[in-house]
Order: sequence, then structure tokens, then C-alpha cells
Amino acid sequence: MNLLAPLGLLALLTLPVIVILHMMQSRRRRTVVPSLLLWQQVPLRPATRRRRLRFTFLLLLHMLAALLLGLALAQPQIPWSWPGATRATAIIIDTSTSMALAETGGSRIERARQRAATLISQMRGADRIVLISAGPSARLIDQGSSADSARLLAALRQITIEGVGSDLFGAFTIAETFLLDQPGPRVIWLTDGALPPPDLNTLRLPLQVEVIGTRQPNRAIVTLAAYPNRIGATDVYARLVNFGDQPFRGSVRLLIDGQLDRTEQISIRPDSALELTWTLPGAAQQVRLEMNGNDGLPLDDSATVNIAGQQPIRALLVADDAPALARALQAMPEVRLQTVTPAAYAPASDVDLSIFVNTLPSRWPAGGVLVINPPTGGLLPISGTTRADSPVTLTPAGETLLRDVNFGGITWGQVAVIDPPSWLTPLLFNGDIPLIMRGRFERSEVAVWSFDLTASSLSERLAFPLLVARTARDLMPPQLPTSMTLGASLSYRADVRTTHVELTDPTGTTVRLALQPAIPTILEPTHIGIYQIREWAEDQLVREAQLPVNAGAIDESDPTPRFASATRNGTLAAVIAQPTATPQPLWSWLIIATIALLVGEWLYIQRRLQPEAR
Amino acid sequence: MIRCESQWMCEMWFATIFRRKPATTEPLLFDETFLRRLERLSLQTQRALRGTPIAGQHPSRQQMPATIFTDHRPYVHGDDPRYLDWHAYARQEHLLVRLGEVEQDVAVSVIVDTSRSMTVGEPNRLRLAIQLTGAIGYLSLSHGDLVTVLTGGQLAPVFGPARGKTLSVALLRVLRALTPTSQLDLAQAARVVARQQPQGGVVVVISDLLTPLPIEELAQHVPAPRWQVMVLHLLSLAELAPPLHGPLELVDSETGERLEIDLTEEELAVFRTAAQTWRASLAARCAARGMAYAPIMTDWPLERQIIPFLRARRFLG
Repeated sequence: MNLLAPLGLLALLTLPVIVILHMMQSRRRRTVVPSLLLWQQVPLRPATRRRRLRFTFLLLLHMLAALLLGLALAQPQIPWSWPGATRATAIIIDTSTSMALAETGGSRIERARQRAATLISQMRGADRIVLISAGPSARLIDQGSSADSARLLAALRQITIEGVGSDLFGAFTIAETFLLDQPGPRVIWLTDGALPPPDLNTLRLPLQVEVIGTRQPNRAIVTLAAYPNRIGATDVYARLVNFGDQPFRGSVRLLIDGQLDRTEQISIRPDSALELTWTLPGAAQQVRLEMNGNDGLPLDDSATVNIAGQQPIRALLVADDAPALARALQAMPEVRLQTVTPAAYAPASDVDLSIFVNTLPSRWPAGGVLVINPPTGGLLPISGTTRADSPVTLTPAGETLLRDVNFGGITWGQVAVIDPPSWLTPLLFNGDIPLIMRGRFERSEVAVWSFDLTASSLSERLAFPLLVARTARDLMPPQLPTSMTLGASLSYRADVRTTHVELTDPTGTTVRLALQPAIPTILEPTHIGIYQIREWAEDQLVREAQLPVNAGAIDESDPTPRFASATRNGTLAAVIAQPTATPQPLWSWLIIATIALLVGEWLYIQRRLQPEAR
Repeated sequence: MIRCESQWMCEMWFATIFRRKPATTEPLLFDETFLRRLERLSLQTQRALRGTPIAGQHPSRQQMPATIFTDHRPYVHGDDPRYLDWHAYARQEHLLVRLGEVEQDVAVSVIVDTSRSMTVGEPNRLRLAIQLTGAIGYLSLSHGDLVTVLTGGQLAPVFGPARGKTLSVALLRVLRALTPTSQLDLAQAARVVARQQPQGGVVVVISDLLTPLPIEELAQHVPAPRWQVMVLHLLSLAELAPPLHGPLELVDSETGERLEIDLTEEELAVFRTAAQTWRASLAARCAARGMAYAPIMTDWPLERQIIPFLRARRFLG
């Protein structure tokens, strides 16, 4: 036992004081009588004057109270835990999509929340609880002791379905981080078991697996894809599964751009899949498939997908004469080309890609910029021209963009000798003369070709349209995926002109995200439906897109538990050779005992006073 | 003796903070049905008392012409001829007037002990004394007697002399307002009564008699047979056999005088004997002076035990 404040033991000096007071108190009990008239007739013996300590119950109570109070002031601590008193519990709640399945008594996630709330309300004393959600990525929700029960319960209510997958090992890692130095650690995993049995051998803490849920049927759309074909129509592919031991008969509805296109009756055998394809005439932007699954998990009974296609590129060719380049650009279906002479050039905000041939602007326009054969002076440090011949060398940075482009046998003619500034990275060298450079300057994505198209044989080669297309698309932001699965994250790279992005989720809640140029941001959709994305350059709309988020996944839509509740002892003892038990303070218990003693003393005095009053 | 103030103060603190608060309204002295039953009773007074004829309902030694007669006397000029006994005249040829018994009122003086000793112990002796005073005063007023109430602490009566049942409300109001006072001076109260009612009457003394009672002086001021003195002695069981033991410091409730004593069974036996002797002595001294003495235990119910006891002792009729 340790004493944090040994000077508090000085309070024990009150013990002899109490004894003295009781010796003084051992006077005669004072009793009021109506009159001494009769008492004076009693022959009195001389009263005993010697004071003698009488060991009364009241003295015992006083001594005990003073002793406990003195010990409490010394703040003693015991170096061991109360037997079975303090526990540190990590509650891992599976927040994968299958936990949304509704069963008798509520959805699985609701039942998990109720179980966790029960565990929180059962906390006593110095117990601790760590709340962890095991969704697509494990997250620490909150942690606290019994005094933080209200906050923990509030955090528990915020736990919802997070998406496909359950990052169990991430959750275990979080649990071990918080529990390894705690007394009585244990992990309680609340899951529906609708995932492959995990390997729990790596967990060093005692684990209690509580499987919530029973075998339930579920029908789901696990795949939906749509692509434009060569004849201008749209091919749609869907994969539907029936996880259940009964055949399913129902209907599916196909909606094109929000309009119902067709309804079909389908039949799926037990535990099998049905694949559907349609060829829709004409172009479309978005396809949605709905199925009357009639099951407890309606989230995966519908899916939406954008038609795969390229984002339009508004290109402005600033050149006196560049027919080969114009042809190569016009061959790209997504390019909307405008051509102006250098004299007529004026910066425009509605241009995505500006191409300067044999000329340079006074400053870099925002967006994509391709400069071909730049003249001396101006924005680029050009020291002169020189002749360049094959062979050429790709830099590691150029491998990504120019791999598989055959530059062999090309005569480059006179090229501008550019000493590339720090923001320009050479991709292709001829000797030590950079031919192709790529870089970013403020809100401009810049590519520089230092050769002259008219003097080079490149424009006559098959590599030319390939180089044009790759360069143009590299200068533009990447395409959005046609759809996402709930729980997946997207590294979103906006247009380089974008200053902020407005993200509106299916519930209508809009979030504004400030962006740095060309630095991607991570999007983690938390709702099923269509997200609206608007990119803004200050107050000008740069790009607007939709991102469907679906719940169906082949691994997640089967809600059948694949393992049962179990308890597993951890290997914690082997891991921690010398467990460091938290010293338990005793002062609060001593104070409580003192108060109880004083209450008992009061009751005792009251009982004594009553007959005297009579 | 050195006193341990800490423990005493501790007990007093607890007793002050947590004691049961007394009821804000005192319960009524009597209910209406009890008063109605009380009207059927009357004080048993002696014929020797002098009162106002015709006004009251107590028997007297005086005789007056009456239809229902017990005696005759010769007719004198001025007698009402309606009371002449013509049958006696026919037999004896003497005019005789028929004489009957005359009822009278009496002066009833109640001396209540309101000293502090009356408030010590349970049940409260003072309340019982007030109830007895109220009962005696009410039935006396109901029977047309002249009622006076005195307390030990004041020279002037707290009520009366008054007559008439309508004043019973005022009487009860006065009694309810009585509070403990200093020591009782019975001789002084008897002097006041004797001065106010020189023709005599009934004196009822209600007290715990825990003062050296000057029976002889009392008898001098209100002597029999002109005065009929009734002493109602209020006794509590705790007084006759106190539940005390061990070393004690006894405090006189009236004087504050203290007495240290080590109470053993031996001392308690002596005390009980002394109490019995004191009681018997009081009864004997009262009887020797022609006073009626009735010991009343404080735990007796008023209507069910005390009133029947007083009737049995011929205090009430």
C-alpha cells in the first residue's frame, strides 16, 4: 500500500483527543426531572469522582470514523486491482452493409448498438470502454470510463452502416493499442458473421465474438455496368443474386436518365445468380436498375451507374496554321476544338485546354496548356535552337505518359533549347536537350513540346495522334468512376482551376471542400444514392458531375452468418511479462465508510434520545 | 464536574436539526359530543355551602315556600297564601306554610398549576390539567355556577368570576392560551379566592403538588365547611417509578437545581417508597383538613377513566 500524502496520518492524532473527550464525557447523564422534592429524600451515597473511560458503542464509532478519515487524508493506494472489479473493454461493432439487414427485433446494427449500450451501462468504477467501428476501414469512435457513459452512449447512437467490408484487423490493432496496458482487457466483437471467418491468431487479447443475426434470404444487384457501343447504342449488364434457399420470382425495372425504360419478370434459383443484358438505343447518361427483392436488406436491391464516357474538353488552338494537329485533336471524340490566330487570342475562362503553336501567351492561362515550339523570350527560358536527331531518351517521369509510343526514326529538325524551370519536368530527351516537358504552374497544367511540327516528321507518324491524345487527356483531370460501392474511398483530383468543391449527398446535405491546385482529396461516401459534385473556380462553375453510390457487392449481400459466437482467450500473458496494474485509490471508499459510520452514529443517538425525551 | 461539551453539542445539533417538528395547530381540548355528555354531570357540592338560592342547581340547607314540601312553618304576614297547607289548618286550626328544598348556585374556583414541572414527561401533565379545568369549568357554567380560574403564577384570575354557559367558549380560549409559568403559590391563590368569594364555595386544586404544599395554610384561607376543597393530584408513572439507572445528574425543571446521584436498585426502591409515602401523606393531610384528595395518573384517558374515577370519588355526580 502506498500513501500519496503521508502527512495526512497526522489526523490520527485525533484518536487520543477523542479518547480524552470521551473520558471527559463520562460525566453523569443529565436528566431533567419535574422536581427534586422526592429525590432529596433518597439517602445519597457520595458520587464517584474518578473519571474512567467507558468503552461505549459511541466511542467505538467515533474512533472508527476518525481512523478512516485520517487514512483517507493520507490517500492510500493499493498496487493491485480489485478482484474482477476493473475491466477495459473494446467493443468492435461491425458496420458493414450486411448489418443493415432487418430481422425480428430490429436491424442487426440496432441490436449491436443495444448490446453495446448494455455493456456501457454495466460499467462500474474505473472500468473503461473503447468503441471501435469495423467498417471498410476501422475507426476509433470514442473511449472513456464509467463517468463518460452519457458521451459514450451518444457516440454509440452515431454509429451507422459504413459500407462494404469489415476491417477487422484494423479494429483489433486499435483495440490492442488502447488495451494492452489496461487491467482486465477484453475485446467484444459484435458482428453478423456475414464475412469469411477471420484468422484470430494474431489477436493477443481475450476475444468474445457475439454473432448477431440468423440465416436470412437476400436478393441483391451485385453488378451493374453500362457502356456506349460503336453504333451509338448503350450496352447494359447486370448481375443479380439470390442468397436464400427458396427460388425468387420478381421483377426488375430499368430506368434510363430517370425515365422508366422497361420492366421485366425474372426468376432466380436458390443460391444462384442471374445475368441480364440489354442494348439500349441511343446515348444515355445514367442507368438505374431496381428489383423488388422483398427482403430485409433493401439497400442492395437497386443500383445506379453512369454511362462510361469521356468528359468533354473545350480546346482552343492558337496557331496560324497547324492542320495536322487540328486533325489529331478533332479525331478525339471528347474534344470541342476552336481555332484562333495568335493575334486574335484572348484568354477565356470557358476553355479547358489552350494549345499554342509557335507562340506563347503573355501569362499562363488557367487550365490545360500545350505549348509547341515556343518562340524565344516570354514565359519560357529559351537559349536558342539546335538540331535534334534520333535517338531519344524517356525519363522515368515520361514512362507513364509516353510508354509504348514509338519515337524511333523521327527527325525532330530544329528544336528550341529550353533550360527547364523547376516546375517543368522533362519527359523526353534528345541527348541533353529536352523535347517534351510537363509541369504545373499555379493553376495551369502545362506541357511543352520544344520541336517544330512542320520541321519534324512526327506529324507524319502514327505516334503523333497518340501523343496528342495522351497529352490532352493528361492535361485534363481524370474521369470519375461510373459508380462507387458504399464504403470505398475515392482519391478525387479536381480540375486544376478549381478552388473549392461542393459535394451534395443523397440526403441533400452539401459539404464545401477547399482544394489546393492538383492535390487530390479523399471522398468517402456514407450514403446510398447519387452524389452531386460541383467544382468551382471562385464563383465560376468549372465542372459538374454525378457519382452514384451503390450498396450491392458479392461479398456483402450474402447475410448468412458463417461462424458462431465464441470466446477465445488471448495470449496477453505471454506478451506482457510484467503487467503494470493501475494503483487503486482507496480514499473515496474510506470517505464513504466514514459517512456511513456517521449516519449510523446519528441513528444510534436518535434511538438513545427518544426514550430520554419520554 | 467537567462536562464534555462536544458530545452534548453534537447531540443537541442532531436533535435540533432532525427532531420532529411539533404540529403547528394544537388539537382541540374536547370534542362537541364530550361536552354534551359532560353537561349531564355536575359537581358534587355540600349542602353546607352558601350560594344564591334559586339561581343554581346544587342542593342547599335553605328552605322556602314550595309546592313540594318537606316541612312546615307558621304563617307570617306577607307569606304567599298559595303555599298555605289548608289540610293542616283543617286538622290543627293553625295556618302553616309548606316549605320545600331550595337549589342554589355555588362559586367554583379552579386553581391550575402551570409550573414548569407540569410540562416534564409524557403525556403532558399541563394539558391534562387544562382539560380537567375546562371540563369542570364547562359543567359549572352549564349549571349556572360562578366560575373563577386562577393559575399559580398570577394574582388575578385568568378567567372569571363569570356565570353562564355562553362564556364557556371564552373559558376554553383562555385555557388554551395558558403557558408554563414560574412556581405555583397555592396559599397566595387561596387568599385571592377567599377574598373574592367571602361567602365560600368550591375550590378545585389541580396540580402535581411537587412543591412543599402548605395544606394547613390553605385550610386557613378556605376552611370547611364554608369552603369545599378538592385536590386533584396529577401523577405520572415515571414519577412514581422512574426508568432511570446509573450515574445521573438530575436537574429540577423549575429551579434548575442539580443533584448528582448514582442510581442503583436500592436507591430506586427507596425513591419508590418515598413517593408512596409522600402521596399517602398528602392524602392524610388533606383528609385531616376536610379536603377531598384524588390522585389521577396522567396516562389515564379523560373520559373513559378519569371522569368515572371522579364520579366514584363523589367529586362529580
